Amino acid sequence: MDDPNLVARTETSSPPEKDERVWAAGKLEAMPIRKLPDAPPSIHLLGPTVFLVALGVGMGESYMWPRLVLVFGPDIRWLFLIGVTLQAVVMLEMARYAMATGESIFFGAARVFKPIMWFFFVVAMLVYIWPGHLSAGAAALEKITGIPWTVSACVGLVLVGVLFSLAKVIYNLLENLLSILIGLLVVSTAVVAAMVGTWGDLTSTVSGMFQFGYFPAQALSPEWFPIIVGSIAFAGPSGMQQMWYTLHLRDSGAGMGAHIPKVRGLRHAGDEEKMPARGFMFDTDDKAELAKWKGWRRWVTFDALLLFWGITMLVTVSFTVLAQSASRTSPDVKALIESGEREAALNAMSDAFASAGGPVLGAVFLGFIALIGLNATLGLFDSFSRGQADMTYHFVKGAKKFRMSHLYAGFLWGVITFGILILLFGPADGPGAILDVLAFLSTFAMGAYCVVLLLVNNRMLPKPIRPKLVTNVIIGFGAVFYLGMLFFSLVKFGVVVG
Amino acid sequence: MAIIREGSLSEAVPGAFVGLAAGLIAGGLAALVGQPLGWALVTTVALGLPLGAFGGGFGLLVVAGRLPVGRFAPVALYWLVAFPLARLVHETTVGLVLTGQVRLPPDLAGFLAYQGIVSVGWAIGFLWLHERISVRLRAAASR
Repeated sequence: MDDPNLVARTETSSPPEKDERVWAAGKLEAMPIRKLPDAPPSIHLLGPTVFLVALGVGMGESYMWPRLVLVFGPDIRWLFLIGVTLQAVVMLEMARYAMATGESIFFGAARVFKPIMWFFFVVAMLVYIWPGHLSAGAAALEKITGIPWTVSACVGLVLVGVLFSLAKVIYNLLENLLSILIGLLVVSTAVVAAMVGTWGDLTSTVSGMFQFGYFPAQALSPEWFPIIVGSIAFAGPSGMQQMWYTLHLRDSGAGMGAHIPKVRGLRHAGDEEKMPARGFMFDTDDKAELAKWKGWRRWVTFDALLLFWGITMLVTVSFTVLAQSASRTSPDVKALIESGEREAALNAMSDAFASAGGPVLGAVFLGFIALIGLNATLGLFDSFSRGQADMTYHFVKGAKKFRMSHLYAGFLWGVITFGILILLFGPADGPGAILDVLAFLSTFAMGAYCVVLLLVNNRMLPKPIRPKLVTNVIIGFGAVFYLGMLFFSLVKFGVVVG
Repeated sequence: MAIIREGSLSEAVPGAFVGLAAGLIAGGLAALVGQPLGWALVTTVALGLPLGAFGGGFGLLVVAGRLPVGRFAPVALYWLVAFPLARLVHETTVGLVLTGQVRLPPDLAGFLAYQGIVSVGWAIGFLWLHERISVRLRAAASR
């Protein structure tokens, strides 16, 4: 079923006609001018943000930040506020390019300088093919059900592959599925936090977000600084997740994405319309078109503020309240969590919750971790395959002989097969020798995409729809923030990120 | 006074479903981890029924034109009142079943204030699921 908030798609792959007006951006093929569809009502709850929430609400919110709060106190959370707010602005800027052109941010990067796009292609291959992200959720499931985590992870991988291959339109299937899962996560989190937390926990957690500049000496130690950098990078979507959001926006039909066909499951690949070789631009000299554009910006702003920012905050505040409540009841939880090993710490937190609020709370915590892991895995496999297929289709010679759906399926089953082999025979997170390189690349990509956003939105879009100065300053700050922290950690402590 | 039209009772279904589901999740998890069945049932009923009733009421107010469609603030305000009330019913009912006495939470004002804050998060999740279920039901009805 198509998203009811979005208008019906128009024709898709028509090439530019002779003497047709076009928008030339960079050295790649110019974008023909087409009509911008009418924007849906700005207040809505269905849409591609669900992917970003599914990917973004993960270990950072449920484990890393509650852990930092237990170690340094709630005042350290001002860094989380900055991290998530920055990500909300990044999301809006990613949407600017994708909605104005129907192209992914990877295509935009290629318009600026093709090697930048290939850099992201390689980073995705290096960082996201390892199935380590499955381990936390599957291990939590093992604690609840007793099923060995490698078994549930392998079965899960095959199920994801089959599900996505059978789907008529992958985006619709996944949006429906993730919407229900995220909705359940949010509702359950609120109910559990309502039953367990106290007014005092909440006020200290929330007021801690406004203690700007609080940075205890211990946080600047070689042991903790890299962990703090990693936690800031993991506040909301991390690594390349924001870049993939542009592909989901396009497939949801947002803005000029309405002119691009949707990616289909392998079984229905034959039904896919021909994918155009580039995106489209609307007439930015036409006031009526600009009014529609403002409608689309309002639509995505609602997504960024209420759904993305609001839900990320809700989940992390709730988990922090729970962690505080647990540490009060079991003071030794603080020492266990400080010790650092993730699985032991998650189990310690679960046990502490159990002693604070009865066994139900321990299981609820592990259930949440499993649910978060499932959301992230579903989103990650789809996103990775979507991004790699998009870059391959447009920029690898001869790839256009295939349909986008075939390339998508190729990457999907490739990463699934590799994942199962690694789960059975290899190191899930990647070879120990390159773990630091992978962590470096993941955080470096975030600084790099801020730079790409500045270049793409200010050079590849027509003037009337370019970002304002204040937005550019915030994105520029993001680039300095991510890259600066990363290199400071590397130079000062010789450690990448924790 | 706005009249709830014939057939509009179906508009109460998505909200009631979300509320009842929340109670069921709380109770189901309690049963899953080996809590006494009675305790799990009390939580399911004492939390699910008030949340379901308020959830259904939300749909009826929307269809009667008392709550505007497509804005978040009215939904948040509605649950700012309704959610703490539902939790109060839950707390007192569980207390009544376990101890045989009607007891209010010790710091009633703090309890209600805390529940009021949490209600904003609940409102986001409620609206998210409500909209999703409504769309499904409307699509099914139009087929």
